[in-house]
Amino acid sequence: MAAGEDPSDDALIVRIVSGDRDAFAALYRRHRADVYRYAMHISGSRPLADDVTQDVFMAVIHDAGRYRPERAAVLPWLLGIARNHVRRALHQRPTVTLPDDESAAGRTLVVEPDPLGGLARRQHLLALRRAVLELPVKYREVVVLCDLQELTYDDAATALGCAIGTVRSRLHRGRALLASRLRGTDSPLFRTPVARGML
Amino acid sequence: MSDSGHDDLASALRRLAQSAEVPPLDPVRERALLEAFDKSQMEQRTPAGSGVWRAAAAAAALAVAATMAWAIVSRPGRPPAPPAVAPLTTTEFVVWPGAAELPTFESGHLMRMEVPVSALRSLGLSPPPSPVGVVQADVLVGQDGLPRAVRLSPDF
Repeated sequence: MAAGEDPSDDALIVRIVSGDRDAFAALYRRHRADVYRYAMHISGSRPLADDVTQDVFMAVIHDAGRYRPERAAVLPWLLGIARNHVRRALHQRPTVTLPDDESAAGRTLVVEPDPLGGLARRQHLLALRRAVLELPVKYREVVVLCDLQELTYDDAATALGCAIGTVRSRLHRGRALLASRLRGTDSPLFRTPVARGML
Repeated sequence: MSDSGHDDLASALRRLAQSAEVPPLDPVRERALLEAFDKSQMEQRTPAGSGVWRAAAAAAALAVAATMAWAIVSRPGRPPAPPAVAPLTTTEFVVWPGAAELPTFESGHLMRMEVPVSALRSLGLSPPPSPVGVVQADVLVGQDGLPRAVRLSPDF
């Protein structure tokens, strides 16, 4: 590929099918993070997210020819593949690794103007992440796709292989469950005015 | 959930999304994928290459079948032709009828196939003593897909 080119995802897929190695590398670099985030938000496991990301692009190597642009955009197609791999992985090893403060982010030394506020925000996010992970998978998927990855309902439906109406209803139910769980949490963070205001 | 509650939840989820860290590009993983891509491309090309061999093998089989059919059909109308070489009961190769006129053998492969016993003499081979209808023979096929030599398979 020539420098400065910014080909569309569809164009990259066409090139991949014709054996263009650079196009594959470009697609990988462009969407690796999206796939990783999806797998991470659904599973809560970094190793699993790493493996799923690798599996998704292995699938692209073998199945790029099966991609149909008239049926889906590339990202929902990739996330649909990721969804299958995450589900399979969770079925094989159902224990979900919850994120904790031992992550790299938790060990990063930062200077904050408002350390207590920063701590509260981090703990708040941790509680929210846990609540998302505790949602039933079918609700977690739509919350992650629509609210965390900001896919349209149409694209989320493509990734999940279901109707848009199903996405809407699951999203509504998922958000309600999430709000309910956050309200019911024992964490003092969610008894603070700030936390209550969030809900 | 109220509208403001919904908005707050949505914005909190957005913050959660932004907080999700993605590890930096791992060159080892990327290299593994690119190698898998290269391997896949080579495998996709290989079947096309083996298709040429399959076509050559099919042509050779056709040539063998045509020769044998000709030998069988033409036998009643003419006196039995003397074999090109002395009849053999061993597993040595004998030159395929007419192969001497073919281009020089450069490379090829062996094809094992079933040959009617009745066609063996026309190929210069002695039929086995046991009363079997077909025997296995190894046909040496040249680079052009045409048979060059034949022998009874050692384990016929």
